[in-house]
Order: sequence, then structure tokens, then C-alpha cells
Amino acid sequence: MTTTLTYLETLVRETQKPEIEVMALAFQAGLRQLWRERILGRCLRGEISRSEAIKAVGIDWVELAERQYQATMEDLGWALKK
Amino acid sequence: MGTEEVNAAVADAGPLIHLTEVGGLHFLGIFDALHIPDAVWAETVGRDRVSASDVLRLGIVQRHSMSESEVSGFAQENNLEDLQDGEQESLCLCQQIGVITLLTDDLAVRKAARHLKLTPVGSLGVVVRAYHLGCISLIEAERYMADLYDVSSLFITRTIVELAIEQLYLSNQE
Repeated sequence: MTTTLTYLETLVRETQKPEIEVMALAFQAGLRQLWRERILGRCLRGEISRSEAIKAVGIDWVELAERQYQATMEDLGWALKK
Repeated sequence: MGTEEVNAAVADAGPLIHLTEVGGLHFLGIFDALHIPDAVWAETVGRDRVSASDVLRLGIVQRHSMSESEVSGFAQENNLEDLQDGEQESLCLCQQIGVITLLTDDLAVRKAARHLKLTPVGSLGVVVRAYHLGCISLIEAERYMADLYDVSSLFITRTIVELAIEQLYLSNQE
């Protein structure tokens, strides 16, 4: 919470925007991120197709999520070996 | 390439930083030896992102000074010039001392490691291995994995952490 308040105060001071405007922008950015993660999650779980995910969030995010997923599964394979 | 030490790893900066951020640096004690090139030391301890005493307390750390010409020659030979100094040094060190496990959270470094026939392992892998070896409980492992997303500066999608936790629970049932 302290960090969040520090971010808010710093952004207000440095952008010289009203606090309410910074909070509105933060809400939009947060919502966009949550939406993107929801789409990527549904794609990785096979609930929507890859092309649907690409249409919704762009190929760069889909490819990044796929590479992260592959890396994570490799880590699990290594970690759980006998 | 020399002989592989038993259960040894070379560390890139990412896992040292991210495990510190979640209070899990001590999990690196799952290795018998942890090799850290000077450029990685400079990026982590040198920038106060990781405590020197915490790293040295592991009791398994060996620092390595690398020859600049040797590292740049290695990077050139393997088309790794786009990587940062610490990343180049850690890959080069793996080859020099014959350690095949490279700790890294960087996707480009993972790709380079695989190309060099090394085994890349990320922070999440270290946490899960600590669980698998009985150092922490399943619940604790889940919390550390969630913290890697929620608390650390590791760049990863939440769903991937959730999928990894699901896999961990599945493996526990087998």
C-alpha cells in the first residue's frame, strides 16, 4: 500500500496531472492488463483458439506467453525429476 | 568442456534478484556449488539488489573473474552480442568450467543456453526443486510461486504461475 501511494504521489508530481486523472489512467491500465492476462490464460488453457487470442491482444503477447509457458514447464520438468 | 561438478549451477542475475525479492535466496542451497561470474555479481550485489552476506551465507558460492577478450570472443562466436555482460559471462562460464545448469529468468538467455546444450533453470524451477527435495511444504511452495508473480520483478503472466501451481498439485497426487 505504501508503494502504491508513493507511485501515485510521484506520478501526480512528475506528470503534473490531477490525482483523479492519474487514478483513472491507472484503473484503465490495470483493467487492460487484467483483460490481457485473462485472454492469454484462456488461450494457454485451450479455452479459446490461438487466432482468437492474437486478434484480442496481438501476436507479440501471445508469443511471449507461449515462450514463458514453455520455459515454466521445462523448469517443472527439471525440478520434479528424481 | 571440463567435468560436470555434482549438482552445480552457474547463476545469471535474474534468479539471484527474484529469489531475494520473495525471501527465497536460501533455496539456492539445493546446489552443492553455485558459480557467479563477476559481471553478475556487479549487477546484483554491486547494485544493492542482493545482499553479499546473504549470498556468501549459502556457503557454496564461487566467484569468477572472466577475461574480457575471452567473453567477447565467445559472444561473437555464438552470436550472443545482444545479451548483457552478465548473461554473456554466465553462458561463457558454463562452457569454461563444464557446468551444464544455468540459472536464468531471461527467455533469450534460455534460448542461447539450449543452443549451447546447457540446461536453463528459472527462479520458479528452484522453488519447485526445493519443494521436491523436502526443503519446504507444498503450501509454502505455492506461496513462493505466487510471490514470484505478485511481489518480485520477474516478468511472467499470472496464468502461467497458476498453471504451474496446478501441475505441482497434480504431481503431488501421483
